[in-house]
Amino acid sequence: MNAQMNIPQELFTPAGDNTAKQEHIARQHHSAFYDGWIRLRKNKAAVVCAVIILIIAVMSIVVPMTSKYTYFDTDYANKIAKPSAEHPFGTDLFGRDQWVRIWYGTGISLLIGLAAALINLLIGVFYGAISAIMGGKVDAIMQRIIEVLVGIPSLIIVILFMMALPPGIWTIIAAMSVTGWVNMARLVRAKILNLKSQEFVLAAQLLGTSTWKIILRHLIPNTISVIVIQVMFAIPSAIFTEAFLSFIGVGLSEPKASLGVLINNGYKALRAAPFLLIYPAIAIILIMICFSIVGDGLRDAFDPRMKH
Amino acid sequence: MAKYIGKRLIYMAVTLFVVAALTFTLMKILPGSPFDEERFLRLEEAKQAEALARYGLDKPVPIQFARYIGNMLKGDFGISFYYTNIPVTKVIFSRIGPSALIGAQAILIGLAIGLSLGIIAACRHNGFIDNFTMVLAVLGISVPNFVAAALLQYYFGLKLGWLPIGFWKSWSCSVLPSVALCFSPLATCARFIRTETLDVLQQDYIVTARSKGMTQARMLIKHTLRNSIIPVITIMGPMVVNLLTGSLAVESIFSIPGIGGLFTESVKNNDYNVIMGLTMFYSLFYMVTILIVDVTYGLVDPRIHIAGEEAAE
Repeated sequence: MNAQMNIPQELFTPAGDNTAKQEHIARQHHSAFYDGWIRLRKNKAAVVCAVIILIIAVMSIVVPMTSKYTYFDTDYANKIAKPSAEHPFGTDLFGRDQWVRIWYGTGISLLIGLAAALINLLIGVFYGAISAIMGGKVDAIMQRIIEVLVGIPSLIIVILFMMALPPGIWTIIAAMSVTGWVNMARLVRAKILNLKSQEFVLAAQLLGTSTWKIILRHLIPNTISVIVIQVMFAIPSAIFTEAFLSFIGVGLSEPKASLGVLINNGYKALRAAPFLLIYPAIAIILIMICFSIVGDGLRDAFDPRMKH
Repeated sequence: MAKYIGKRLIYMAVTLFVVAALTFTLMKILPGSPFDEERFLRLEEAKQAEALARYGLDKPVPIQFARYIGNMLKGDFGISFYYTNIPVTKVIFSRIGPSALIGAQAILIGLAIGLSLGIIAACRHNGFIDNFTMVLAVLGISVPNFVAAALLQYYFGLKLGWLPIGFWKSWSCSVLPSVALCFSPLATCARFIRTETLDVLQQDYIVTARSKGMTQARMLIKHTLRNSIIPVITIMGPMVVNLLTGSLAVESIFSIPGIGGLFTESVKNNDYNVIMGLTMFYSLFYMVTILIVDVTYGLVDPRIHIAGEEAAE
């Protein structure tokens, strides 16, 4: 105890004014996106799935281009061949190489999923943003329209569109876009309305920032995470819808292939050649799982407050 | 409350009208007529006109539409082109039974297994059952129902021969289709209740209950479940809708005489009247389900106030 008393007075120096030090930000400055990216990187499953999706996407372009078989060349001498070194996934009822057809079909399915998701994004974001930013009467009318559209069972309407329009990839994409954008519009509107009432927007307004600048610098960047997450969920849902349409026979027509067409063909040949169903089934399940996990990962990383 | 329901009913009427107009237009664009093309063209002109007049197809399109809406309000959807001379409503009603059975079974299996798994998973957070449930949830959401149905049919019907497939005679025929349809509600439910329960378990009143020395089981039943199960009502709407669309493919895979199978059949047969009738039926069912879900949720959970559109969000 006494030792403490013996400390000489000179050793004590005034702490001084070190507010600068107190306010020093030790952590590097990261943008919200970089933060999200760090969180996403830690999610091993999501990273692995994202890599798998990339590999699948590349393979679906490369394999049909480099293989000596095509997705439409028939070889009746060699139909329903079991998987072998020559035909890794066997051949179908028309002797077409299933390996190439599955990769080609995967590519078409991915293309449809991506295109449909992007169209939904465009329409949905514009609709939602205009509705939220304009507010008032415009918003009221636009919301009434949405409320009417929400009641429509979309898959049924998509099937009817597919029946009425000439079959093809773009018909499917267009049909899916008729009601597909509604969810995106609602999410974007809700997010922007929420942002609009926050203090930093009010501060920007008080500082005299123009409306356009507020939209471009504050509202849009803060909405991107919601949009990206929604797109990640829209892609597998569009892939599912396409497969479903082709499976019940109103989607793509032969010899074009998508995963749905392949599953439909495989299902018809179930007794004779179960592998014709099983490989495309595995392909679509794998793709759906990967998108679902990446979507979840993105949501956890970029919107940590959002509930599952 | 009455005002809220009234408002919703008005929206429903508008939506139904839009669906009817849309369907009607699409049916008019569709190539081909309900008549057998070759045989129809071989008829004399007078007979052709007579056949068209019989189905009201000789009038201008707007009048056809007005008449269609008028008849629809009277519950008359016309007669099926494929099942000659049988009214559409009769065709549809004769098919509801099997669909309702399969749908109800799928929902019950999904709810029972999904809720139990989800609750156990939340209580044993990060344990084996939790991981298992999460894997199952991802699978259930990712595997398309028609793929599941086709694979089930192959393994349990064709290969193992455990359950009948391809006909509809006894209850055992409904097992595989119900199982095929239950994956998605099961997964949605397990995932949802897990998150909800985890959320509730972190609330202060649970900590209080724990510190009072309440047993785990008692606390779960008295405090946790009551609060975590109520929000499950909100996902019932989307779940029922998923079942409806899922049944389209699953019923035709298992050759079940239900309305889902009827829809796919009618699409293939160009049976326009049945398609329109079913579209209206599906839309009505869909909207009524969502309305019931929203209203029930407001009634059951005192924390929710139905205030116009907030409740619909």
